[in-house]
Amino acid sequence: MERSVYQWQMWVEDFGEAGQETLKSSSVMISRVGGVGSVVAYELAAAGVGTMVLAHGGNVKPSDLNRQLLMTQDGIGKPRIDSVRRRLLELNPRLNLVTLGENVNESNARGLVEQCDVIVDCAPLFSERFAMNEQSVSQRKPLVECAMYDLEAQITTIIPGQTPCLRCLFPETPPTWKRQFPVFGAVSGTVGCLGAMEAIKVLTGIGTPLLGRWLKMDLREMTFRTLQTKRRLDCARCGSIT
Amino acid sequence: MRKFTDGKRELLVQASNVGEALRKLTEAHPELKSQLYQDEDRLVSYVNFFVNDQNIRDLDSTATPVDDRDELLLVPALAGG
Repeated sequence: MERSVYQWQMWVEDFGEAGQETLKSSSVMISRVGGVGSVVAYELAAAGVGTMVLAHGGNVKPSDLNRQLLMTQDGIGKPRIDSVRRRLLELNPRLNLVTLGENVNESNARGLVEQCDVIVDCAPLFSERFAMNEQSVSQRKPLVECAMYDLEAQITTIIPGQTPCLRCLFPETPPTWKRQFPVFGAVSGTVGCLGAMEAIKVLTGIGTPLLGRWLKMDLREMTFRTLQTKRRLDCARCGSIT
Repeated sequence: MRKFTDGKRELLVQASNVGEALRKLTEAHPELKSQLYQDEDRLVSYVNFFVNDQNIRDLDSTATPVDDRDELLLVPALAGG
């Protein structure tokens, strides 16, 4: 049965059975599991990643349902993380899930990141993103950085010591950023799918991840640009590591 | 950024370097200035500025020369998830 589920993706020549085995033995942390993260988690569950470490606080609200594809109408008022767990296991009952019903912060980030091979950052607040970046650099764990606003989205993949970290790109929290933002699920889902693909590539070594490259997408105009990024030698977080 | 540029996603200015281009941009759209500058000369850290695909931080900052073939791209920090 398991072999049948993954048969079509094992036809990808540079992936094959060895790639599938690698995914099965891998652990990916995703936070949060909302508009972007729910799609990352669903695609990785479908692809056969063995373990996922997921953090997301709060209860399901009606306003989640246009984009947070792991939340359902009957879950309204109940913990989001319970909906996430239920929906992922419906798709892939072989999945090993580590779930936390709170959002990432400076206190819990270290323990969460310790349990994974790759982090996928899908958080809506810079404080959470910086907490994961801190641990990515400290623990030398790859971080796939996915973000969106309105009909725009951005993604890059960070390998500490090799590529810019999030603080290289944005040394400070933007004072203008607001927790609530305009979003279509199709936009958050687009960057979520790309984030899942980046995680698969980093884990299995196939393809060319977005290392030192920042993909900027404008889905209003359907324009996609790849920008070059370099480490900041004066970066307060990663400037001194090699 | 578009709400500070009358909804326009692309603007044409003539300039010899990035600093001059930004100055002309903010003269034409004064509300943009506080989004791009933290004081009279220093750019904010949460917007990245690219000439074509290169960050001006890796070039010559606002002194980076530009000509009529170049595009200056403003990339603000996003965190929607």
